[in-house]
Amino acid sequence: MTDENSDEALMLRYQTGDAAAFDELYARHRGGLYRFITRQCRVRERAEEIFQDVWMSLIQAAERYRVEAQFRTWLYTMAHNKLMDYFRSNARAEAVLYEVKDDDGEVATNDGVASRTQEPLVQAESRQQGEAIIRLLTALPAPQREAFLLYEEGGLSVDEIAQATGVSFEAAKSRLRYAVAKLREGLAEYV
Amino acid sequence: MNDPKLNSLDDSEFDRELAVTSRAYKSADGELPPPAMDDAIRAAARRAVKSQPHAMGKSWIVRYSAPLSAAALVMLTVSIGFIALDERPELAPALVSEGVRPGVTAPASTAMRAPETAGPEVMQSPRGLPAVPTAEKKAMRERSTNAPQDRLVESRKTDSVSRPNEAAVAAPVAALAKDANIASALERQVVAPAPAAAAAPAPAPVVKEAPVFVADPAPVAATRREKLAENTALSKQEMSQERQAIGSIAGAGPAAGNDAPRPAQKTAAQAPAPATTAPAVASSSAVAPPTYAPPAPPASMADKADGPPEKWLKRILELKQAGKTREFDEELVKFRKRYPDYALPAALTAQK
Repeated sequence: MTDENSDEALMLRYQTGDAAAFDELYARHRGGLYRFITRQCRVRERAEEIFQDVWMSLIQAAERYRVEAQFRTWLYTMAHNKLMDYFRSNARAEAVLYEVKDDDGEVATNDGVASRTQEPLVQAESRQQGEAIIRLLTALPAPQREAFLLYEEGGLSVDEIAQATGVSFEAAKSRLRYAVAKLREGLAEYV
Repeated sequence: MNDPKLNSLDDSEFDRELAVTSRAYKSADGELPPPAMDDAIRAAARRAVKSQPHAMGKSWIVRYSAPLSAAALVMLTVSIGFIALDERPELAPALVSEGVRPGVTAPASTAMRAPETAGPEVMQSPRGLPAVPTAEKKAMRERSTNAPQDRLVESRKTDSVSRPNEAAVAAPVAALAKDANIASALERQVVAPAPAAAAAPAPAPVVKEAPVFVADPAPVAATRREKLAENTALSKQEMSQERQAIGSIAGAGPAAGNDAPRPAQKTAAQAPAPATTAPAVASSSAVAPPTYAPPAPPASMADKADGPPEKWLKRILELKQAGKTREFDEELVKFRKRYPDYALPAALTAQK
């Protein structure tokens, strides 16, 4: 991808009135952002609302946009904030998980990987691996799930994940490590 | 990290685990937003662009702030430069030598410097003296008020190096500054040589002289004072001689008017007089009583004049004696126009 076609360049072009640049940006990030939101917000209608809100916020903020960070980091930071607002007002239990201090990698014991007997995956061993990982992902603690989704869907590095979620580099890395370890452990029985 | 299993994972191992997990994740169905939502969002983006085409882009202030700032800076610099040149013409000798601003900044011309060294007495235009044009008066007043005394001394100091003639005249002014009467009289002398000096071409070294801002050191000032005293004595001698000469012309009555050879000799003696003698002639008229003391015309008028009024009168007298009455009348009218308050010698008025 040349500089002219980078996310940041497209955003600047849209800032100057180029609607086609926005279409291209949207095409690049619509799927990842949509999945990032819908896989954290369990109510689909609400997830779609958040998805739309994020893009509307981006359109409104385009005038003030400055290239200070990666566009995708900015986009997923907005999405993270919208989700946090949603969790605070509708899913307090999930919001609390974000407030757990796990900078040192410690996570509450009840946030560990769901046991095989608790997971729907156990009852549906014939399902495909993809479906299995989605379920495993759903069972992950919200911060770890978010870190994994930011890595997979947003394509963010650990540093950018830390930036988007407002935590330290170590905390972001720890969340990602835990998420991968738990998913890998859960997948082992289906591979 | 408390989890021993997780702790045991080094970075390479973690990367391997991550790759496997990523592959598994990518095998899952990729959900996409409904097309209706896509359309709605894209339409909203287009509406935003169309409704606020200017708001989406940078405002003109942001876009043009840099060039506007640069232009303003250049304008400011040029303006300050011109103001500085107007106030301190000696700062731009190069410009003067090229004739860029000859009327304003010419420091080489004695005529232009004369008002500055003359002080406020010249400006007051005592009764019986020709009026100085308003624009020149203003310029002279500005120069005299803007230039502090030490700057005058320093400029004279530099002048004395490159222009000995002018220095000889200007130096007594500073030396005898304590005596107000003498000083004012001598400062009139400084004004007087303006026409002659203006007519003479300015010497090149004067044009290129650099401004001196250093204060006058005491020993140098002392020696200069001595020189000034000598020059003053010399000027006084010259003044008395010239006063006698002019008195003889002015005092020529009807009887003397018939004495043709005397004015003719005088004219012949004064006609080829070089510019350096002009200050002496003018200075005598400056020290003389007001009726005899026509001030030197300003530089611009002096350029057009036929010479000092005394010379002119002599020529008129010659015309009269030669019987050229018509030319005599014309010249007398011109002279009257030029010097309306100048007291005509009896030789002219008696027969008129």
